[in-house]
Amino acid sequence: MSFGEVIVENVQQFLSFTGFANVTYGHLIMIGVGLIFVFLGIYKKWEPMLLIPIGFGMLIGNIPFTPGFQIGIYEEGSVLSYLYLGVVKGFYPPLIFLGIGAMTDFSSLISNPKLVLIGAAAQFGIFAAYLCAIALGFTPAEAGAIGIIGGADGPTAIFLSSKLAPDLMGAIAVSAYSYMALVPVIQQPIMKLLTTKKERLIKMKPPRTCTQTEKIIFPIVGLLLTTFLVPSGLPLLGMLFFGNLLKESGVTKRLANTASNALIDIVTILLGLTVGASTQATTFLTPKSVLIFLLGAGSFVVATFAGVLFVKCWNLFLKEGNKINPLIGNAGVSAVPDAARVSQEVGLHYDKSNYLLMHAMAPNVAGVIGSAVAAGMLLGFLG
Amino acid sequence: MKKKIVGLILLSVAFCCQHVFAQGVKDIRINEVLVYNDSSCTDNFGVRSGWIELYNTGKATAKLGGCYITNDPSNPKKYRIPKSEVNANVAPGGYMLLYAYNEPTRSAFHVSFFLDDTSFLGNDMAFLAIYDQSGIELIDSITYKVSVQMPDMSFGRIEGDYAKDKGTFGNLIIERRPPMQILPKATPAAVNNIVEEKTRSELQAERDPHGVVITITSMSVVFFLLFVVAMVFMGTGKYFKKQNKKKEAPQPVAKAAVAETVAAVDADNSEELAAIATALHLYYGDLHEEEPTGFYPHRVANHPSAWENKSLIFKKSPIRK
Repeated sequence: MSFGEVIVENVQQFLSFTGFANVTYGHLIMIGVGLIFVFLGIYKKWEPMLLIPIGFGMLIGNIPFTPGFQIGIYEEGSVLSYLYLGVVKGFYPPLIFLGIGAMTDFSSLISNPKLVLIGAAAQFGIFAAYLCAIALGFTPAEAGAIGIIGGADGPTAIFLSSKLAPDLMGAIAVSAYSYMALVPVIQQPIMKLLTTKKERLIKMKPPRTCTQTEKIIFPIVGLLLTTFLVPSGLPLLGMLFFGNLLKESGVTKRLANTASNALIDIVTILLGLTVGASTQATTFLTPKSVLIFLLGAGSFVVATFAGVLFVKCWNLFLKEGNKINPLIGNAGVSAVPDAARVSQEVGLHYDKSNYLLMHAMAPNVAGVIGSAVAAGMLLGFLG
Repeated sequence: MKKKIVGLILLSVAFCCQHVFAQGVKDIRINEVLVYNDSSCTDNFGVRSGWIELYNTGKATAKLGGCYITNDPSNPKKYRIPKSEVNANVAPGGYMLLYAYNEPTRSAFHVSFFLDDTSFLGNDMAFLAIYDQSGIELIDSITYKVSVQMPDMSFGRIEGDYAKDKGTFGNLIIERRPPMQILPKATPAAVNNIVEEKTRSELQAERDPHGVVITITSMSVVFFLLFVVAMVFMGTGKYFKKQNKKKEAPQPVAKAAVAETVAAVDADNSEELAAIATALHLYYGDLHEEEPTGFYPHRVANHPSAWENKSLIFKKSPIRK
């Protein structure tokens, strides 16, 4: 073989390894979706903390390559596969919950505990999607994993899908985070559709100030009450309440700061990036993924409907002056604090002096607990 | 007194730890036995012999190094698994295979007896037992009839039955060992129940094909749980509200004392207070420069007066034509 032929062969071999030689339409579509996510995160500022890592992860996961070099996220021994272990084994979501607990102020819930029930009502979205998924031919385990998208809680969705339907985890995670970013777009029209102007103008009594002791008691009692009844929710609820105790105890500020800043940031980066990278076109672009996206949207819609309608029904039994503004019904989904912010924005749109944020935070944080309990139930039944 | 309490706590912790460490070995069971091996597995030396399968029913790794296996009821220490053997650790739900053809020097997993030896019990019966590291405490034992054993026909227990036969009575764990049975197929170091069990998801699909039951149950639990949380915190809220009211209630003596203090301050230091208030007012009104040692008048740069601005004082220069 002449020198020139060797060079030509080497160049041909090199070209066969490049992304251009291995690219498919699927890769291009997924790269396009990734770019849209990055665009929405940067320019529209829709959940940038989530959409940018996920979007960029999509780019990483969909660079075409020749298998066998331990590059891809699904290749055993690759760096990405090790980073992805936290998703596969389900230990990233509880760490995120630790951070959420350390940054969440449950005082709005403690000061007006009855609003917790709105957080329960919004979980209808999960089970509506579960029923529809079964009707569409998914197995009960797959349906449970899909249904949890309606909880509007990304970490919970990843945790449950890693246990019940690992094959669908990429689609479920991307769907859950996408709809969380779209909470303002999805929820506002439904809230306006279901409420009258008079209802939107209801002013609620300001919540009372709760003491530090109450705040310390809450995570301890909350943990014992919830996990004794639903132990399968322990990884999420345990970490959530532990994080909150770190915050409220007042003596572990360093730990609370780490959990609510550095730790949650690190885990969010790893989680977002690997979830994004897991959407390799070859495994992601299937009819099932399309169905999952549709069911996810439906579950968000049902959850919002259920929350708002629950408050409207409840108001029938409440005296004038004690009525609840149905605009906080949407906050029962656990997209903290986006859903509560939507309540605030819509409330202010109709009355510049009607601040609903603190009222809406109660069902919002109750939604976190509710969706973790629902996930625990599904895991207990189907895991 | 405190030292005694601490001592007691340490003692109880030590006792519990001992119990926990011992638990791994105690969870080991004789899971499957093949007396006559015609076509089942061979050992590393290519020998087909009878074998014993041990199974860890517990949740912790069982370290079997130092434990004893015997076929002689009067000699529990007949064969000792070498204590230093690193491969003698059995993971939870894991298996260990021991070859029985009286060649104990071949490896740690070759015992020093045959499985068809009936000389110790007589009446065509053979005995097999495993003891802990002391050689005193029996972990598990079986007896079996040798004449009924057929080539490649193993007997043993089904793994799923261990959990079913375990119960608790207070703090005591009561266990009835599942019975030995002829197995459909010899499965060395593998699960004995070759009939695949249905997953919970598959069982739910049969019981509740439309998912309605799970939906109703789960939603009820979510509502109930959050209702309980609400009730509990409404109760604690009421309690703390009362406590706060008590604290906030006006106290006449204290009020009078405050009024007296204020009056005294008004009388004695009124000028000083006025000076401090003025200084603070000017400071917060951004009318002074900030200096570490005190307050200084702020230069008003944006509003020059005619006295300060030279261009307004000087005459204009004559223009040459």
